[in-house]
Amino acid sequence: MGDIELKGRRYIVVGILGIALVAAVATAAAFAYRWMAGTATVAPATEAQGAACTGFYSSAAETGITLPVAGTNYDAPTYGNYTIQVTTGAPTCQWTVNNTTYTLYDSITLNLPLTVGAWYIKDVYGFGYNGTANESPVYVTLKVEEPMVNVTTAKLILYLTNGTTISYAGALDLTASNTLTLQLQPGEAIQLDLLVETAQAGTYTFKVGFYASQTAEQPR
Amino acid sequence: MRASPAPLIAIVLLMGIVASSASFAVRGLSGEALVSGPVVWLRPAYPPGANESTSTYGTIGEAVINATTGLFLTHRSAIYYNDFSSDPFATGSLRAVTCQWTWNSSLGAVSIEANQTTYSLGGECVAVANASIYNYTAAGHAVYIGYLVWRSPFAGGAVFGFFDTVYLNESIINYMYTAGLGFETLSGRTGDNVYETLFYYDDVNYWTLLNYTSIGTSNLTEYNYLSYVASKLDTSTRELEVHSHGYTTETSIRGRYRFYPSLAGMGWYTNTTSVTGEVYYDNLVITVDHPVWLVNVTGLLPGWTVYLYNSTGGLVASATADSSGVAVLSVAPPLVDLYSSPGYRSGFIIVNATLTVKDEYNRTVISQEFPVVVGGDLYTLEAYNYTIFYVESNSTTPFTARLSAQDYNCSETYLRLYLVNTTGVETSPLVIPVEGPPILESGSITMTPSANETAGEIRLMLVSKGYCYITVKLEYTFSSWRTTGWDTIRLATGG
Repeated sequence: MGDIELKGRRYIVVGILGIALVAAVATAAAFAYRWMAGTATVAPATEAQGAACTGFYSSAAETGITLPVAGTNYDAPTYGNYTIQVTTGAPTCQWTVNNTTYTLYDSITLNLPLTVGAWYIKDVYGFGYNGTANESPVYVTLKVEEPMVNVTTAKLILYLTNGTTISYAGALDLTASNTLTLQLQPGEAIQLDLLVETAQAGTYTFKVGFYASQTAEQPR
Repeated sequence: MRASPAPLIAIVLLMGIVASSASFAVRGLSGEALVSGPVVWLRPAYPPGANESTSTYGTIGEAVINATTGLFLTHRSAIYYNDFSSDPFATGSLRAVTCQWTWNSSLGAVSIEANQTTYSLGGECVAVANASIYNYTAAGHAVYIGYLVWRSPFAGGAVFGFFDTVYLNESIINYMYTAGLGFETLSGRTGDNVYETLFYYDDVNYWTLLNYTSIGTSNLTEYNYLSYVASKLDTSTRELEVHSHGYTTETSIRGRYRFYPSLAGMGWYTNTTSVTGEVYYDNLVITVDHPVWLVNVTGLLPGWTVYLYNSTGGLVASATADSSGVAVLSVAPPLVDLYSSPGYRSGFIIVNATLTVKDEYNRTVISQEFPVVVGGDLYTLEAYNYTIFYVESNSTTPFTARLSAQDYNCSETYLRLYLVNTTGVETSPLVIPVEGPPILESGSITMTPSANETAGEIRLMLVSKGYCYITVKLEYTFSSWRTTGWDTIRLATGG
């Protein structure tokens, strides 16, 4: 075998290695690096203001609360010895009047023992906005996030109250994805009524998001 | 070198986005309905004329009602009535037995000149109806006579006159009872001396006064006052009575004065032929076994009221039903001054009349026109009145129930729904009337389910000349209406 031939083979190997190296250089990532940092400063419920001081309450459960009467039937019997049960979530806004602390909750879970047919639960719970008169109104958008299926009718019916007057404010069909927006002035509240009509025994669930904002923009 | 404006525009846009962006305080409501079988449900009662069904475990009930309802003339006691709108002598409806009677076409009335008398029938001018009453009197029935009467001013001094009803038996010897108003005219228009009188007459013994009552000075017979005379002869009890404007005089007929009259009619008697004037008679009615001055309406609920209107809408009479559901209307006219109301003739015969029934809430149940209402008539409100559903429950605790109307489309229909519990207590009704505001909710009642799950019933009263579709909720609560359950009832009729 001649030297040239040997060398030629070496060239080929070297050549292949060289191509591989070049390819390695060409596919390596080059990053344009940017950054975003966030700091969530979570104020305690006692410092909540504006839209943050909206939430669920029952004036029957929190006697003397400085918001309109609402949620008077949170523990009402439905039939027989069965009663409605409401589980509250985390306090989201708290304030103290004459050494008594009142709380708005970020969520509630209703447990409704019903029977086949139609049921109407009046003023099962309240949703209020605790603020001073000079504060801006808040917009509350109710959004059905998990519809109640396989029922004949299911509605969340809203009555707006300022403690003196009460007026019908709309109804949210819980059987489909719907939204409904209304405005709360400081010190106002919504009384929440429920209508459920079923043709079969069973367990039926739903979930509604309440989005409170200083602006009228709708949540996604 | 000038800087590009693009970065500035981007900054402004970013600021705009920041300014209009929303932050939301998110809250959540979740619920879980644990639905069991029905606690209160409906069971069809299957009343007559109803096609009923239930669904969804008895929480929905439907009933289609097919029934004939309304206000009907169920009995006419009159064997004769005539408003003399046409010549009754020409048609043979009225026969002048004595004296000269005429028909006044402009007044639509029968008249007789006041100075007339006769040598027969003791001087009584008599006109009788073309209707035999013998079969009734001989069988012991009561026969009533009624008519309207008025007179013109009389001239010729004081006059004795009699507006009589007459029961006559024409034969070789004539027998007659007269029951009427006797009067002595007084000067001016401030009343006459008036009596109610009952006489017996026969061709042999002539007149026998059976009884009388002095009414005193009264306008009952004064000129140009529309008055009336009515009477009753009951051959089983042997009573003879005369009625006029609240006055009644009666007698028990003794044996020697008893006979069975075959004819009935009107009479005029005067003691003088020197008088000038005219006596007018109208709306002659003869009835059997029912007073000619009364019209009965049955089938009502206690407290309901019946109104009788004449053809021009004038109220003739009204009456409220008693505890047995009977309203008794007086169709005898009031004493009417004909100078004020010259055409007033609403008595005993009401042509083109309307009967209107109103419930205890003054809502119209039915308004029905009739070609003629005659004294002695019996009208019946035929309503559909049944339990349509039973209310059942498996609850061991009592509940409160009521009915509420959701939507309805009704015409010419009176619908009344109410609840009754097992102890017989009734709620006030839900009412959809023909006229007047509806009552959309019944009263409430406590229902305690029995061992066989019966808790109560739903009753329907329906009077319809049209149609009605209605959806009603049977609402119930175990919590003083803090929570409310309901069953749905759909009713349909007519259409």
